[in-house]
Amino acid sequence: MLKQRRLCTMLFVFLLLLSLGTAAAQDPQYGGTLVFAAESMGDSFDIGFWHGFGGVHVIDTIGEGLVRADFENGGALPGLAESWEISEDGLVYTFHIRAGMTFHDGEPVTAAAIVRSMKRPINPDDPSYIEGMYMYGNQGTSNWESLEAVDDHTVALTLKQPNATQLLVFSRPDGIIISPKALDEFGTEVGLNMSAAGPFKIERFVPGQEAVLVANEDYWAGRPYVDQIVIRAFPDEAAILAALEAGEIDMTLYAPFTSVPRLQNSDAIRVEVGAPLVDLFVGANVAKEPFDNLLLRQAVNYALDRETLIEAGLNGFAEMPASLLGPLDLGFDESGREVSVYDPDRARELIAESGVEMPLAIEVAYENNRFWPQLAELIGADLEAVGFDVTLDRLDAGSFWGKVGDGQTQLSINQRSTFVPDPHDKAILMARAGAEGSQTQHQALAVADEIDALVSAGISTVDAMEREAIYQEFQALMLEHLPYIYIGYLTPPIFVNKRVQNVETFGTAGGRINLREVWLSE
Amino acid sequence: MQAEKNTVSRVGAIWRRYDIALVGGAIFAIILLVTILASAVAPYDPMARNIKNRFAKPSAEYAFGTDQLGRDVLSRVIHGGRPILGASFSAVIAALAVGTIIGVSGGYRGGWLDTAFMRLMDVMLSFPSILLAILIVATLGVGLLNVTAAIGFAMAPVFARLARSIVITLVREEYVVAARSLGAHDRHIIWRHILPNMMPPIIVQASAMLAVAIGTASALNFIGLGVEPGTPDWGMMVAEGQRLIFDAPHVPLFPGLAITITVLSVNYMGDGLRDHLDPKLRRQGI
Repeated sequence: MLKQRRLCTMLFVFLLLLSLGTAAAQDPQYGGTLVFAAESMGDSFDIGFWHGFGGVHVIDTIGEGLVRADFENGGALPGLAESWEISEDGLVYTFHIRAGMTFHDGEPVTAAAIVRSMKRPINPDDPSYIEGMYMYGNQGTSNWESLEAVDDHTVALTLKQPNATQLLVFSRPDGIIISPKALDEFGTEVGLNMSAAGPFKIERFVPGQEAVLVANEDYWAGRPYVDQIVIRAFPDEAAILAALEAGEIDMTLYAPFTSVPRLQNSDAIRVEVGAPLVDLFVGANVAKEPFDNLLLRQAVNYALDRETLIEAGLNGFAEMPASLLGPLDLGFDESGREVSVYDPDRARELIAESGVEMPLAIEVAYENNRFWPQLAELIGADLEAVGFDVTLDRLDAGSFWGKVGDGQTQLSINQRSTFVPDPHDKAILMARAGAEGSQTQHQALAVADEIDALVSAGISTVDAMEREAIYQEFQALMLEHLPYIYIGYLTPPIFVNKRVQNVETFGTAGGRINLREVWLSE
Repeated sequence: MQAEKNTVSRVGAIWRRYDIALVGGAIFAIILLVTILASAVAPYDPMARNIKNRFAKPSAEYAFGTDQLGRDVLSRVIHGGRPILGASFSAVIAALAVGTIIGVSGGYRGGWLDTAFMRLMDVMLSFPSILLAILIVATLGVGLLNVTAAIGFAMAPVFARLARSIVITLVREEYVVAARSLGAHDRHIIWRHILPNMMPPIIVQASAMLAVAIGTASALNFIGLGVEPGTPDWGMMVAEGQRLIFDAPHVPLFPGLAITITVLSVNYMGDGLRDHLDPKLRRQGI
């Protein structure tokens, strides 16, 4: 009997220890330094300009807008605004600002401070105003009728026309709120002295190299788990991989995909697969010969062996494409998968039908980094197999985007990340040139007006069901006229040291890293 | 019997004196031969992809393994010397011709022409040659022809300076003074008396510059200023393979080794040529 009791006691103690141990292993821990490897680091964090993804990672880690994006389920989460109301006509937004928040420099976060920061791009009298802060264009400022602080904790925004994405664009990197003290003190140099209200604040910044961020003890949602985050730029993928394996960095999106099979068996490194939020496609310049010819664009579409492109070019880290919108987007139409197929015979027939003599010399432009060169080589070979004479135009990132933006390419291997979980974030690429966010010269398309009308309707329609129908029509039209030829939806590997816990893979996959709730187990 | 002995001892002496140079020369000759006969020697088509057989390790079937697109690395290394060696030889020949013309005309004529040429050469020499080549390719545009022109342009001042210094010495030699006093034309003097006598140091310089040109051409192709992506080329192959260094090291290793061995062999060969053609060194028996 005594023996039995002793056995029961021992079993109870064992189970208790086990449960305590398990709880200890699962409970988030505070402390430590997390090093994130970026592919670049700009010279400033001024949100009015693009500074590469390294800059975006820093801004996303130190900043906070009125709302945050929920990349997993879509929609907006509370940010500096704890709640909001939108009038029935979709024109008036009333944001209720949390009480007791402060910026990194100690200034209180008030409605007036928020309005001041939001008006920075449209107020030339602001000492921090810089002509041509194009990134702010994403905020939809030209559609703002008025923006005012009703009281210390209420911001009212009135729009000229309804904008279905207005709420979500406040979660963009260009939507973060900057301290009025910093705007006054540093003026146009505020990008080097950012003071925001996000979970981490900048302790040290070496332009072009790294930013050292420390936990913001006064963050409204509570201090983040990690003490310090270092976002460091590395010159190339091999250097990132070496640093990852040596334990010098804890997390990155930019290690070579080819290393995944080996790293999956590593004791120290874990590879998580991101959501399909990034579109990869071949952009055809429809305003320029020869791809003003629909038959040739269709030929390119059928010439691409996407299974091989994904397998060999992206090491399997992509899903087969359907259209410009992705599987997680509102209104996604899966039937596009029947158009984005490999059929080289059909491609040759379309070329013959076009009457264009082959071999036709064409240029394919692409960025000379990451997986793009390998992808370009395979795409070039696919196009040569149906008769094109392909020259690969390898460009650095800046030159590539400049050439695409200026309409100087014929075909370009392109991508669109999801910065906010809304289909307009991708559809805006097709907006008429000159419109906010438009990056292309698609007005040369025969159906440019129809597409433009759908893009406009997509943003001005508030009802979700109606928007769904609009975006389905938009996708059908895009597939019929093929200004873009789709390669796949990237599902990027996220490389993390095994000590890094609670990694958010949705926003991260689209380039919006979220390190608020990450913690280190050692 | 004695003659045979003499021949053997002479061959032995040559070998003792030029052993490294001979080995370098032999290796470079083999590399050149394999490069010229690449299509016949390579076991596979260097562009043939086999996606299912990517990253195959070196084996009996694929001696150097396969790359990220399943292409045979050995065949690509064999073909990969063509762009680099073609560009390097052409660049050195062009630089030698242009530099010699500038150096000889400046040194022989003297005066303002010499000053103008040499100041121009000084300006060009003040830029590191690789930087100058990058600048030129960036201006002219990407392509192997432009890489060749850029390397040739960047190297021409070296030959011009050397040629000028030799000509200045040679014009004071008695046989040149004698030819001139006999009424020989400048062209005759340059062709018959100066050029033949300045060739040995120029050839030695050319062999040294060939090694530099191979390195520069590899570097320019590595950074993507030369051949098109996918083209079998040592520099491009190292560039494409560098991110695979930890996962498939054979992909960048073999083209990298090809560059190293080629440059080393040309350098050793150049040293031997210098020893042989430099009368001072020959006299000293060094």
